[in-house]
Amino acid sequence: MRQYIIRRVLISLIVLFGVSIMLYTLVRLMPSDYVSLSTANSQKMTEEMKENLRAIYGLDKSIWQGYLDWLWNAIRGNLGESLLFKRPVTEIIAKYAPVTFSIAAIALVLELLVAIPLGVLAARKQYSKTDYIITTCVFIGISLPIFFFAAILKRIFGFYGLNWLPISGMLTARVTYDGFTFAKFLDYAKHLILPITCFVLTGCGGMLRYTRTNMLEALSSDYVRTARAKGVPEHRVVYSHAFRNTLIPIVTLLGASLPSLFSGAAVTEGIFALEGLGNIALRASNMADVPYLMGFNMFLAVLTVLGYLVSDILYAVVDPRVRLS
Amino acid sequence: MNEEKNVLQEEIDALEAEKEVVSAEDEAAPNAAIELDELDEKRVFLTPGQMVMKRFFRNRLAVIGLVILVLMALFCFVGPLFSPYSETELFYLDKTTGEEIRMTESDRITNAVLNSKALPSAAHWLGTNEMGQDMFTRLMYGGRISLLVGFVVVAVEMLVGVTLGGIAGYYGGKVDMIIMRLVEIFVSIPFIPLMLILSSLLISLKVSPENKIYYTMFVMGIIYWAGVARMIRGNILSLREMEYMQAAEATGIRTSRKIFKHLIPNVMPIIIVMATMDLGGVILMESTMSFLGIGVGQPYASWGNMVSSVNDNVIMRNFLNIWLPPGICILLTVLAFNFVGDGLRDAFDPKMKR
Amino acid sequence: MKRILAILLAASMTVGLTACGENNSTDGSSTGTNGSSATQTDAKEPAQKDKTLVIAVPANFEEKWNPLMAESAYDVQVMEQIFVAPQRVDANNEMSDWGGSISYEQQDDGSVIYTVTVNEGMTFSDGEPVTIDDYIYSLYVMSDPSYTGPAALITEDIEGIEEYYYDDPNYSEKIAAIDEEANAKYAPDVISEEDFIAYLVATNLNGWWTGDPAGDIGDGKGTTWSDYIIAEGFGDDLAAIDATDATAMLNLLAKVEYTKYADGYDPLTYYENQMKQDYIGGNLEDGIDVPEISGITRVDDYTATVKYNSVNIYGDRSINTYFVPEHYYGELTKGDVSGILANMEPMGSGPYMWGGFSDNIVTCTANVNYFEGVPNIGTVKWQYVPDADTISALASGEVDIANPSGSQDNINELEEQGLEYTLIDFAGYGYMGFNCVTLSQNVRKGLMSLMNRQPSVEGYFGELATVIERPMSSVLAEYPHDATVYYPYDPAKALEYFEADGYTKNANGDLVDKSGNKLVVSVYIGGEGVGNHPGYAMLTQAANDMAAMGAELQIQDVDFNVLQGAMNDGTADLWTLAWGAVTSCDKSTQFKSDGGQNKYGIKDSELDSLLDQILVTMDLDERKELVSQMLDRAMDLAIELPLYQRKDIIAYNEQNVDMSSIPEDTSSFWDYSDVLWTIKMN
Repeated sequence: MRQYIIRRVLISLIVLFGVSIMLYTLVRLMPSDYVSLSTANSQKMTEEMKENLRAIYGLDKSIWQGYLDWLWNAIRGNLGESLLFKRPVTEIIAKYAPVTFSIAAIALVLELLVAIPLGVLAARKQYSKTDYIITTCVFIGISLPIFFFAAILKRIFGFYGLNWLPISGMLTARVTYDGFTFAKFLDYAKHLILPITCFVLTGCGGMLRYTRTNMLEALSSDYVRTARAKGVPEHRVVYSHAFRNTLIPIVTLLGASLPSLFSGAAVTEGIFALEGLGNIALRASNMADVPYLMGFNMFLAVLTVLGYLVSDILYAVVDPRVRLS
Repeated sequence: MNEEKNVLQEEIDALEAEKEVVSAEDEAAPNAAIELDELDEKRVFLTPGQMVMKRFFRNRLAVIGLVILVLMALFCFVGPLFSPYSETELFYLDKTTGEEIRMTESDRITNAVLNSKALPSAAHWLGTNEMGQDMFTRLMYGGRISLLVGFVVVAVEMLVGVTLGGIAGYYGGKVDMIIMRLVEIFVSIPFIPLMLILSSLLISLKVSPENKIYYTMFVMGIIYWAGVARMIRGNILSLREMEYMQAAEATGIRTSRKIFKHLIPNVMPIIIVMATMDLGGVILMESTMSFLGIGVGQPYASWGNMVSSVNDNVIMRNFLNIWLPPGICILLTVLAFNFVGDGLRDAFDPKMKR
Repeated sequence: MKRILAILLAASMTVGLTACGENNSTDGSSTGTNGSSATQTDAKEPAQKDKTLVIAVPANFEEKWNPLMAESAYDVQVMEQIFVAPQRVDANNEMSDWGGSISYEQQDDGSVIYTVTVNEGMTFSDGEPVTIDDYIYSLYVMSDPSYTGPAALITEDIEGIEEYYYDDPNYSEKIAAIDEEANAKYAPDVISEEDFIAYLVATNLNGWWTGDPAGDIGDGKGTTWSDYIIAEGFGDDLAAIDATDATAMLNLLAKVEYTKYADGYDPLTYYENQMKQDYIGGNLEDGIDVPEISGITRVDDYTATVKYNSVNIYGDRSINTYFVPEHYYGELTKGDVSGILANMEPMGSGPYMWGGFSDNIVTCTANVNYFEGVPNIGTVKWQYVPDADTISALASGEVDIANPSGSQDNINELEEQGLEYTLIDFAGYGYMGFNCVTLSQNVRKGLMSLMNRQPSVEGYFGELATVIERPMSSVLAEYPHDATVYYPYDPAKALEYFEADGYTKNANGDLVDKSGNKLVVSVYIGGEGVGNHPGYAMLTQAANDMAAMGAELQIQDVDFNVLQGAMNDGTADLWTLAWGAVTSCDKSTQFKSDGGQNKYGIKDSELDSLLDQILVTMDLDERKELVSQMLDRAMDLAIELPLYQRKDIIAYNEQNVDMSSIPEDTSSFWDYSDVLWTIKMN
């Protein structure tokens, strides 16, 4: 087992190395660099000044040289300074990751709470009206783009509709809070209801489908048939026998959804004016901010690789049939 | 309870299901008993394909989905032939008389106003958009692009994914190792930033705007292959462990025969199901890309760029005719793809995971 | 609209230092609005201490909370409340004294000496007095070789500034020597064949060569490089080399080009830049040779002089920079100002003090020691509210002041919600740029005749924008208001222009030039992928018209950075953009042959001389006449098609804001933010 884990970790490092080369090359291939973008409207900039700036930012180096420099620094934990924000990339990630992460984590928990019971119910009543209604409702969530839901929710609950909830921002600016009080927490909560709802609406479908399929499989397996034949009460058959076995694949699914907690935020954060990593990444992409894009995307890549690593290991642990060689 | 039993029975024997369909018709038909007997005889001749069909058509949602898809395809591909307007045509209004002017009347349009955000009328069934283009015509052309785009991505991802996944799964060893590391690299690259970068690269390569989306989608397919390859490889790995494959192996038949006669038919169901569901996913992705400004650009239409106007506060509140129709089209189409995909999966093999 | 705003905020510091000048409040002596606050000066406490004013900004902050780094319009908006400069722009776009003064004196030798003073007795919010050193300090930081902020002070003709920047006491002489040497060696009539070919190879035939020997030459007809070489009569040479070897092919092509088309290339500029680059790089590595800028002299604690080598009508604006406390930002080390620029906790002498930034909200509190008087409101916050939500945020009372994007829809909406608003002319204008290298003058004129601007602009902005006829913001005093349409929309006329350039219809109905190439023009526009741009309908119309005549207009709806890229490297034939924060009529950076922003590639000596004259003409009427001539010339050359002059909206929630404290003479240059310290709340 230990050997397996060590091997997987080593392989993950190779994968990360590959990802970083691809990313760096792509980012540097963008048609215009940060200097020409940021000085584009400065009427007095001369080519010489721009060259000087490129030298300061290290954009005058070849892709290969720049990559090696980046790698050498990154290995030592220095991701460089964002060109756009003029702050260390690690500082930006550390500052904004909690926002993005907590929103996504809350949404994930809610998704699980909605999708699993409904998925089990739909599987138990396959091809019934209940099944059709649940599937249809939840599938609507994965059949429209997230910005569409955001617009509809803002319309219904915002100022022009019921006027129950704020439609953008994270806090009421008018109020000044003294430290992190309960009132401040409530204010945050009120502002985050709509974005989180958006995530839940669009995230449930996949998870429900996964639960339903696994549950169907479990329900048709030999041990369930045996249990039924023995006369075990139906709810025990469903919840103790079938459902427990469905949980295993769901747990591994969670491992894989670790990175999507961050990557899904790009669109939603922009719409709701939340200050998170995804929103910043969009702005950075538009300005060819090489250090930030590298830092952020590698952060996501590490999470992805980690997610797969965890789910692979979990799988190996729970399913003895998986060969470790 | 009844449904649960059905599930069980279906797993055991598809023919039972067959009977049930008949018994449902039974109530309406007086001479059901005879038909039942006939069908009882007929069931012997059901091929696996027919069984799948039967099971698929039992799922009402899947059938509805299929109908929607056929109608949408007709609407998008045949509909434009009957439209009096072109996709990009602008409409103007004469400032004094309020009469509509078409864009070809160049001497009259200098001092005219754009007929923008017009409400539905006989001339424009769904009104016009912000720029004064006919919404109904654009809805048809937009759907054409959205659907085509879906097919391009899915075709590419399947082609690359199935080939590489198949090779990895079949040969194993070093080839498998290399392909799977590539897969991991591809799944680890964050999607949206990547598309932003790629889109600007494509433009700098002077790809014409009309075709840009296809190139973008081609690239998208190449990125998406990793997920497909992973799935196919897993399937082939488990198929190779099956007794019948080992038996085939033992008889010493040719590799090509093994692949085409035994492996491919067995992974076909999962390929079909994946393709169907991804078609829906790609349509959504296209609209997200339009929202980010890197999808199909004006003056060409796609459902994605049409539905993006939902974010304009004024349009959202006052011009249902601009944002709702493309929204409904996307919803119905993606929903239909999902229903059909789900139905196919259940019909092929309910154990099949996706 | 969002995209346009983004473009404009990138542009906000255009005339970098001028923006610093458009600052707070009326000057100390003025009465009226600040009458009430004067009485409270003794109490040293804001009259509405517990009130919070919330101002909405329509785009994300860039979070560069540093007076010398702030770049986006919204970062700058905050910095303007925290820092004070010697002068600022008043409602009529004229400079007036504020935290000090700037005056100038023309010398006999053509140079100009500016005298800059600082008001005695002004203090920073930490109590330290403001002296002229704090002014000189910010000039030096901006002139430093390691400065990465938006100001372009070193392009000013200040004595000794280039020597300081490049750290070489003999900078001017050396550059002159390099020019001379380059001319002697690489001028078209003297350059050796080897040097010329080396240049062609090094630049990949000036970017033409794609690196693929089997590829085509990019003429759209699939002519391969080999075909081209043979057609030019070098078939024998081609046979002698391996046609799949990229290096050999490139060398042969360089020979072909040198022999046949040497006139089309410019090795001189290339070598000149090469030599300058070699020289400029690495001057600081051998220690500091030039510790000071010779043109900047400290006279006493409150006075300094800045010497310009030549007359520049905007010199005072360029040197009007904030007083930045040296004691707080740390001592200046030449060649390393990164520590100063990394300080993101601003502290200055303005009416408000930095409170912090979190959750997309900037908080500032009143500086009771502000030299003009105690600010009225205790706390001011700036919050990012997406443009689509701005009006509802105003109406619901979440924010008090906002700038919804200028459109008729928004005006209707504001009126429906019963909100107060003022319209101000935007200090800039929208235009479409023409690539004068890829398009001939006749083609440019033809394209201009295809642009039906009126319905397009009106359809987008409603009554909030007008079509302008010359490429200049009509808010400027120099704009010729009597100018008429230069190229009326007329497809027939356009076709005449194209035909005059040698285009004819071929058998397929395509409009082709003499060598059979179809007329294909690409235009880059930032329409957010959904045609959200005032020029979009116009281009759609033109594309259809061109298709009808057998030509093609490719509309590339792209992001800002892609547009920039295409414009900078010359791949875009046309592009639409807006100039923002234009407070001067000086177009020389754009239109002059060697202008830093001459993306058009226009080289016209008549235009050059007009531009030079404008810059040294102090008399307004004379200057107006020259500007009018210059703009006519520019229109005739068809460089820039002016599109619109639009209006901005400033909207208020009058339930919260005391409207009587909002300045009545609000203009593009002067609004509530300039007197924020006197604004009252209900």
